[in-house]
Amino acid sequence: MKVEDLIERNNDLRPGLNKENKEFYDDFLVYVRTTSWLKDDIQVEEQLLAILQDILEAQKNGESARDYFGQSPKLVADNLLKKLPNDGVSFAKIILYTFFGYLAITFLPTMTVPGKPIDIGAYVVSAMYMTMAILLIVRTIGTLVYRYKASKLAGWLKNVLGILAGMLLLFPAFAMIYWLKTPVRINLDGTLGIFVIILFLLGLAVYNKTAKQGFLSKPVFFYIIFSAIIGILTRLPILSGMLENKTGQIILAVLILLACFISTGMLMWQAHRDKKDDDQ
Amino acid sequence: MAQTISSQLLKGFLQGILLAILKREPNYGYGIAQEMNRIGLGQVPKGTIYPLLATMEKRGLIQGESRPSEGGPDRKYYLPTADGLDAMNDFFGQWQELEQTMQLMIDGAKHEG
Repeated sequence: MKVEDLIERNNDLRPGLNKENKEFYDDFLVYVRTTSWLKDDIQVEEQLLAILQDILEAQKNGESARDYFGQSPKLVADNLLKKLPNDGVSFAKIILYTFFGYLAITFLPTMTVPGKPIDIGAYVVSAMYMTMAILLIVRTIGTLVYRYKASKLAGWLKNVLGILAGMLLLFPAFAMIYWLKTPVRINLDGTLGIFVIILFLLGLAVYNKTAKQGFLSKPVFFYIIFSAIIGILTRLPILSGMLENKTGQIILAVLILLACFISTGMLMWQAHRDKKDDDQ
Repeated sequence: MAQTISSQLLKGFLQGILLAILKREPNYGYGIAQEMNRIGLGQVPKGTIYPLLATMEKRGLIQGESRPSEGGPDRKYYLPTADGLDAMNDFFGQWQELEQTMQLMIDGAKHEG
């Protein structure tokens, strides 16, 4: 079975857990997934699925996950991961997906408006920083998942501190795009720009096909595709002149705003649907 | 078992026990757990089974195969390999020797006591 199929089956079965067992298993799942980057991801997901199926069966027989599994799920996870084989390819995939995913989100929208040289170097450095920052955040979340609950700080305070720490860590990545100046600048107007956009779109198509559980949600995908289409249209000779007058600029601004609203709406709808599924 | 067995002691022979359970009938995680409860090892936290099964599979003592379960999705069932059966027989042999030795010690202690 492929990793995506194992994850999908896991997602299908998890709603069958009661509240207490869901909390237990979710912590275990987060911990294992965030601390197993160097492990064979198929074997990791097979183990997670088998354990979930067993906890569900224990639940059917009136046994809680904690009673069945024991009081040291972290220790079990650590021992289990030690026994699984390493696989550097899985880790390399994570890095590449994060790097190119971020680059697609930030780079393609800047291609909507031609006429300015694009600092490719700044984007690449920003993507490298963001990749490391995201990996650090995810790893920290995983490592802290058991300690977080044991902490005596108030729940709201823990959440606020976590969000602040995340924002502080991620902010430099976005700042770099605007303030970092590198000599690697290129004009991506006209045909060259269209070619680069199409190349990016092809890369995204491959990404979408190979990473069903990828980092790009549908709303984000929609915004990226929309930006790419606008970027191509504004570079077509027949339409490139429109940006030279105010009306064309206003139309472009409205279209970009519209895309933002639609993406935000899709994100909120998705969040609402996910919350509804969780509550059920 | 009327008395709880120390976890250190259990660690030593859990592998042999799992092999014996799987020799009787191939089984999956929860099924193995229920068998352990049935033979008096209810105190063992069943989470410990999973790393042990992974170790045993890595060492070639057991092999896993996907089989349909009763009224549910396919499960990974484990069964002992030829190496696993050899390891189980070695374990039983060592246990019998140890049992004789321990019985002598216990009898000796009773006489002294």
